[in-house]
Amino acid sequence: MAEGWIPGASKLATAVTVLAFVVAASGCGSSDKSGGGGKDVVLRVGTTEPIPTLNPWNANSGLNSAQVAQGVVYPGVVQYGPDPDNRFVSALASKWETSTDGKTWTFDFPADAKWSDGKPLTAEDAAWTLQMSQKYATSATGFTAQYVQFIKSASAPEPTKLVIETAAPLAPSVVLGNLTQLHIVPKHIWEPVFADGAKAVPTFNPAAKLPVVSGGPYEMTKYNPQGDTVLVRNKGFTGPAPGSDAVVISYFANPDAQVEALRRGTIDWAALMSPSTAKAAKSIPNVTVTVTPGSGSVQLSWNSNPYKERNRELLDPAVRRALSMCIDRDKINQIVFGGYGKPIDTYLGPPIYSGQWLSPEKPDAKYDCAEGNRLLDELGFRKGSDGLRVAPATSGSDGEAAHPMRYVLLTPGPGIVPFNENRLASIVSEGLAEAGVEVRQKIGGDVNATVVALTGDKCGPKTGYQDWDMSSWIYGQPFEPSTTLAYFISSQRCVFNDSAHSDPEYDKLFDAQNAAATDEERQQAIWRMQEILYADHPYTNLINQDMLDAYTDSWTGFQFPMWGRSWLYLTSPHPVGD
Amino acid sequence: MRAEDILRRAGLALISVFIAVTVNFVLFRAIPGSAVDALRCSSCSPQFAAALRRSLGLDQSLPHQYWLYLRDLAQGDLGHSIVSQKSVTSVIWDALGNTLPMVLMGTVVAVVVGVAIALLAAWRSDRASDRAGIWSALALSSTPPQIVGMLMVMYVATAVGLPSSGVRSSTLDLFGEASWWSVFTDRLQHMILPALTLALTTYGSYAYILRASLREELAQDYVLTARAKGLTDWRVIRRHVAPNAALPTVTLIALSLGFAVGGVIAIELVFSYPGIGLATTTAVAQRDYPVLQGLFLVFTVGVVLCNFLADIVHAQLDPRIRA
Repeated sequence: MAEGWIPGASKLATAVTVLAFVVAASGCGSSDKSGGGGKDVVLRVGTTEPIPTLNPWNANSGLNSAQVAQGVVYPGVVQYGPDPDNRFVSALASKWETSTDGKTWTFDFPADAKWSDGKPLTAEDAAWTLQMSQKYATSATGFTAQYVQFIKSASAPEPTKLVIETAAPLAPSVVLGNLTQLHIVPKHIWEPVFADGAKAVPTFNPAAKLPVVSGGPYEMTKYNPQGDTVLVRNKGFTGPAPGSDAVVISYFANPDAQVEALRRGTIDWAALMSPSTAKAAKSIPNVTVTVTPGSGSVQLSWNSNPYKERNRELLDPAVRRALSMCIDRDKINQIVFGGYGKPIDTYLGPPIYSGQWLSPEKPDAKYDCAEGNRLLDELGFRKGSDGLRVAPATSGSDGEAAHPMRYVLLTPGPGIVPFNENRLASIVSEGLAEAGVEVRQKIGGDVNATVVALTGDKCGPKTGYQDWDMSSWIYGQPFEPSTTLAYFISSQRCVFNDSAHSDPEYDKLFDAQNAAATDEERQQAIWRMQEILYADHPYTNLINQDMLDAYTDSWTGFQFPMWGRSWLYLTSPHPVGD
Repeated sequence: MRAEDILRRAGLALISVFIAVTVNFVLFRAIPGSAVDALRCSSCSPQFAAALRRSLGLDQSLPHQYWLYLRDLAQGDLGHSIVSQKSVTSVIWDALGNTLPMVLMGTVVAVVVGVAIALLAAWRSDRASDRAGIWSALALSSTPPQIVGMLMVMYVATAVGLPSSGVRSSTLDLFGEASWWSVFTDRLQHMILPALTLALTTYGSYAYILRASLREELAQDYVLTARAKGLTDWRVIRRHVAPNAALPTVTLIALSLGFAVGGVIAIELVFSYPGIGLATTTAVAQRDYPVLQGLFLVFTVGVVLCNFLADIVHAQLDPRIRA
C-alpha cells in the first residue's frame, strides 16, 4: 500500500475550501435590486406558503397560496375588492350590467387587452373558459363545478362583450361571487389541453413552459414552488399599473430564515409569519410588523354523526354547549397563538371578511365553567366518586349503557396546522376535566391520515365518523359565505363536512341562498343558516388567527386581507413616495 | 478483487435495490389515505374524486399498480408528480443538482478538518490539543444538524453576510442575463452555510475513527523500528502510520456519501435549500407517491452504490483483500 494515502487529496480539498470562501467573500455585501433603490422596482416577498399549482382545475388550486399566483396569471372576469360594502371590483372586465329581467349579465372587456405573448385577450377567452368548465364539470373541471352551476350559457357575441345567461334572476353576489372563483385561461394555449375529452386538464402544468402566458398585471417568468417565483410586469395589461415592475416570491421552509432574510434586507416583505417570528421581526430597525384579522378560524368540531355508535349524549347540542363553557379561549389565544388571535363566536369570520352576511344574532359563548357544570348537572349527567361524569343509560335501537364521559379528541399530526395542536388539546382537556369529562388526544397523522381518521375508511351516507368525539382543525374564511356554510350540508358528508352535521332545513336554505334573486333574499337565508348552526352547535368556534406580516419601511400600500382573493395583494404595495 | 467477485457483489447490490423498491412501494400504500383523500375542498364532488383516482391509477388493485410501477421503472419512467405534474426524473435531477455539490463541499471540508484533528491528536496524544479537538468533534457530531443549522441562520449568516436560504439570489437575472461568474459565485455563497453545517456535524466521525486507527498503528512494531531509525514523530505518522490507518476512513467516506444524500433533510429544511431533502419533506406532506418512490429509489441506489464502491476501493487499498 505504498500509495494508499491518497496523495494530494487534502491539498485539493483545502484549495476548494479556500476558493469557496474567497468567492463568498467577494460577493459579500452585494445587495439585490429592490424597491426604491434602482431603476426597476422589485418587490421581494418571503413566504412560508409554497405556491402548489397554477392550474385552476388542479385539486390543489383552492389553496390561498395558489390563488395568489393564479390571480395575476389567470385573473377572473371580476375580483374581490377591499371594501366590504363594495365587494366586487373589475378584473378582466372593466364594467358590467344586468338586464331588466335579471337573467342576462353583460361584461365589457377592454378592446386593446393582450395576453403577455401579444395575442389579443378577448371576451372569447372568457366565454370559452366558462363553456369548458361547464362541459367537463363532472370530470376534468370538477374542481370548479360548483361555481358554474348558475350559468345557463356563456357567449361572446363581440370580442369586447361577455354575455352570461342564467335560468332565473340571481342575486349579484351569487353571480359575481362565483365568477371571482373562475380563472380565465388563454384559449390558444389551453385548447389543445382540452382535446381528447379534457383528460389532460387536471394534471396540466402551465409552468412547464416559461414564461407562462399571463393575462393579469404580471407575467410569470420563473416558477419554483420550493424556491423563487418571479412575476414581471405584463406589457399587454391595460388595467391600473402595479406598484412594482416585478415581484419575486421566495419560499422559506424555515420561518426563522424568513426573519433573517428581512433583517439582512434580502426580502422587503415577510408574509404570513408565525407569532414567534413576528416577535423577532419587531426588533429589526426600519421594519413594521402588522397584525390583520386573519381569515383562518380554529374550531373544535363535535362529532354530530346521527349514526354514531358511542357517546351519543354528545349529539345533544345542550351538552356540547355546556361543555364548551369550560373551554377557556382567552387562554388558548395567549398560549397557543401568542396573543395573535381573537376569540370568535361566529361561523363566518370577522366583518372585514363576512361583511353583510354575518348574522346580527350572535351566540353568547362565554367562558363560565361553573355555569357549564350546573347545566350538565341539570341535564342529568352526575359526577361519580372519581369526579368523572356518567352518561345515564338510554333505550331504543341506538341505546347505550350508562358510561363515564370519556371522549376522544382527534388532532392532526405535527406541522399540519399553523399552531401547536398539542397545546390546544391540553387546554381543551384541562377545561373539560373541570367539567368532569376525561379527554384523550388521538393524533391523526398527516393530512391524509387525519382526513381518513375523521371520516373513516369506508365512509358512506350511514357509515364512517365513528372513532372520535371531537376534532380540531383550522379553516379559511373566504369572502364568499357559501364556502364556509357548505361545510355543514349533508351532501358534503365524507368530503368536507367534518362534523357530519345534517339538517334538512339547513340543506334547503343552502340551495335557496345559491338561487336567491336578490342579495337581501340571500342575506335572510344565510342569516337563518347561521341561527341553525348556533342552535345545533356542530362547532365550538375558538380563535380567529391573526395574519402577521412584516415589511421594510421603504414600502407602503399593502392590502393584506386580499391574500388569495385578488391581484391587489401583490399589485398594491409600492415604494414610499411613488 | 477478481472479476467474478465484482460481479457477485454487483448482483447482490441489484437484489438489494429490488427489495428496497418493493418495500418502498408497499410502505407508502400501507399508510391510511391517499393523495385524493387529502383534498379538503368543498367543490370536490365524489365524482371528481373518483375521476382523479382513476387518472392517478389509484383505482387499480395494488398488485396491478405494482406491476405498472415495475414496468415503467424498467423503462426508466418514474412517472409524474401528482402535485406539480412535472416528471419525477426532472424533479429528482433538479434537486440532485442542488444537493450533490453542497454535500460534496461539506464532505470535503469535514474530511479535511477531521483528518487534521485526528493527525494532531495522534501526534500530540493525550495532550490538551488532542482532548480539545476530540471533545469538540464529539460535541458537534452529537448535536442535531437542525440545531447547528438554526444557529448558523440566526447568528452566522447576517454576521458574515452570507445567504441563509435558497439556492440563488432571487433578483440575480431578473432583468437580463447574469454572467456565469455571477451565477457561480452566487450559487457558491448559498451553498456555504448548509455545507458548513454538514461539515461541522460530520467531521467528528472522521476524526475519531482515524484517530483510533492511528493510535492502533502507532503501537505496532514497525513504528518502533522507524523511530529507532531516527525518524521524527511527524515523519513516522505521515509516511508510515497514516497510509495504513487511512483504510477505515476511506471506507467511511464512501459510505457517508451514500447516506449524506438522503441525510441532509434537516439541513435543507433549515436553509430552505431546494435539494433532495426539501423535495422529500414536501412529497411526504403531499403524499406524492411517484416523487417519494423516485426519491427513495435514489437514496437506495446511492447507498448500495457507495457500499459497492467502498468494497472495491477497500480491496484496492488493502492487499490482503485483493489477494
